[in-house]
Amino acid sequence: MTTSSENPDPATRLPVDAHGARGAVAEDAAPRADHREAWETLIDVFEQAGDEPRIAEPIGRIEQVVLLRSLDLDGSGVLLVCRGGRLEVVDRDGASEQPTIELALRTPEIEKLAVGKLRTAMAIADGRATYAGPVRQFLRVLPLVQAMVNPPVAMGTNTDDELVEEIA
Amino acid sequence: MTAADAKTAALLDRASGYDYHQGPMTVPQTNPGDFWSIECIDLYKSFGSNRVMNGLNVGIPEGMITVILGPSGTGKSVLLSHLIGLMFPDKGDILVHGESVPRMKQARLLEMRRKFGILFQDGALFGSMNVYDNVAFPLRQHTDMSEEQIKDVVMRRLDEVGLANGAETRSPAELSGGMKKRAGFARALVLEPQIVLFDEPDSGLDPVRTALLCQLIEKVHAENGGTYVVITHDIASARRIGEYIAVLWKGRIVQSGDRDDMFDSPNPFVRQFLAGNPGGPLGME
Ligand SMILES: Nc1ncnc2c1ncn2[C@@H]1O[C@H](COP(=O)(O)OP(=O)(O)O)[C@@H](O)[C@H]1O
Ligand SMILES: [Mg+2]
Repeated sequence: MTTSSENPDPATRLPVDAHGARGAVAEDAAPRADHREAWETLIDVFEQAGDEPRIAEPIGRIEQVVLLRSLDLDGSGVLLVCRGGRLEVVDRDGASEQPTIELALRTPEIEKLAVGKLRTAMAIADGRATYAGPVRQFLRVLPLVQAMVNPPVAMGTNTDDELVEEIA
Repeated sequence: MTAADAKTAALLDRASGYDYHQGPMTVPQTNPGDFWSIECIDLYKSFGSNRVMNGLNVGIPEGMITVILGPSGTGKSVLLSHLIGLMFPDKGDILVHGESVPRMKQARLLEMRRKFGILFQDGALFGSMNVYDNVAFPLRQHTDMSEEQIKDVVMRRLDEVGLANGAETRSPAELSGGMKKRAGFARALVLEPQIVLFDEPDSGLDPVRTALLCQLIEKVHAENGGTYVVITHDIASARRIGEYIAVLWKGRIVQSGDRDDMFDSPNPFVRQFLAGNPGGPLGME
């Protein structure tokens, strides 16, 4: 599997003026323990998603094995096995599975993802995250996990309920 | 053109001419469609002497709600027709999941369109069918599901948009504007599209109903994932639901980006346009 920075195909690039993307990567000042804590919080989120059939079922239909890695920690990362309508988080070490997708994030992005606020495609597009493989398959279902920890404003909570009744 | 429209036009002209060069895409894709769901590459389209697209470039990111924002008549519906291969560009390419739409053979094009769910401006419901049958229509047309299976899907989708009650007895004519859009939204979802397009979902709705529809769009996106593209001239809607925003003017994208980057744009004219204040200090001269 190649990483996204290798083997770029210039023909597939959008003209550079089409996007407001920025290449800046956040300064790394966080101590190691913070990197570890952010990472473990994120793993918890995916484990929780795996236990929630409403979320795990659609994710488990993408039939991909996602290698999730921290760019700020040594270690091989975890595999998100998305298959047969189930989402399982497994340690990469000793796993027989081979990843089909890789997504590697730095701690600031890991923290945002864990609270449901990372716009992951943009993080990839402007170089704050790296990927390999058909990452779009995973990006497609990632909103379900993000909404689990960061639910959108519920219907009708900021308008009067009578109107909600009337139009619902 | 009203005085307000003229001010917006003047502001957008200046926004397009502003010499801020947006940052390069630092990460090229290994393969087309790796993280952009849709890519519009250097599109040109004219109707006679009316040039509607003039070198339009935009990428629609996967897994996000994108808003394409532009005043009426800027070619938003024309762009939407190009995405689903109902119109073809004079020049340039449209990639959907990395695959060129203008180069598709007819059979592939028909298959490709099933990736899309579309909410048309007026809901585009069949007046002769009740709400239930309207929503069931794509399933009866495109799948061999049994009526029992269809009922399952239809009721789930109607429930999702808050229209489950009385769907089998109500005809579209009995629905309010907001309800018609909800029914159209339910119908757009039944085939589990990976991309949902909304053409001016806020048109004809008052601000409160627009806010409710925006909330519904966000909720359904959160539950289903995928790529949502909302086309609108309403800055308030863009501000409310756009995670990624592209401003369209005179056949090009003036700027596009993550919403935070857009509201924080180094281009003062884009900032002022998004602030909904075309007559502000920058537009006065
Ligand atoms: N089928 C068509 N034939 C000729 N001109 C068209 C056609 N469709 C759209 N146009 C023209 O393209 C321009 C953009 O239209 P449209 O995409 O409907 O704008 P918007 O949706 O942004 O309000 C308008 O000048 C319109 O007259
Ligand atoms: Mg239109």
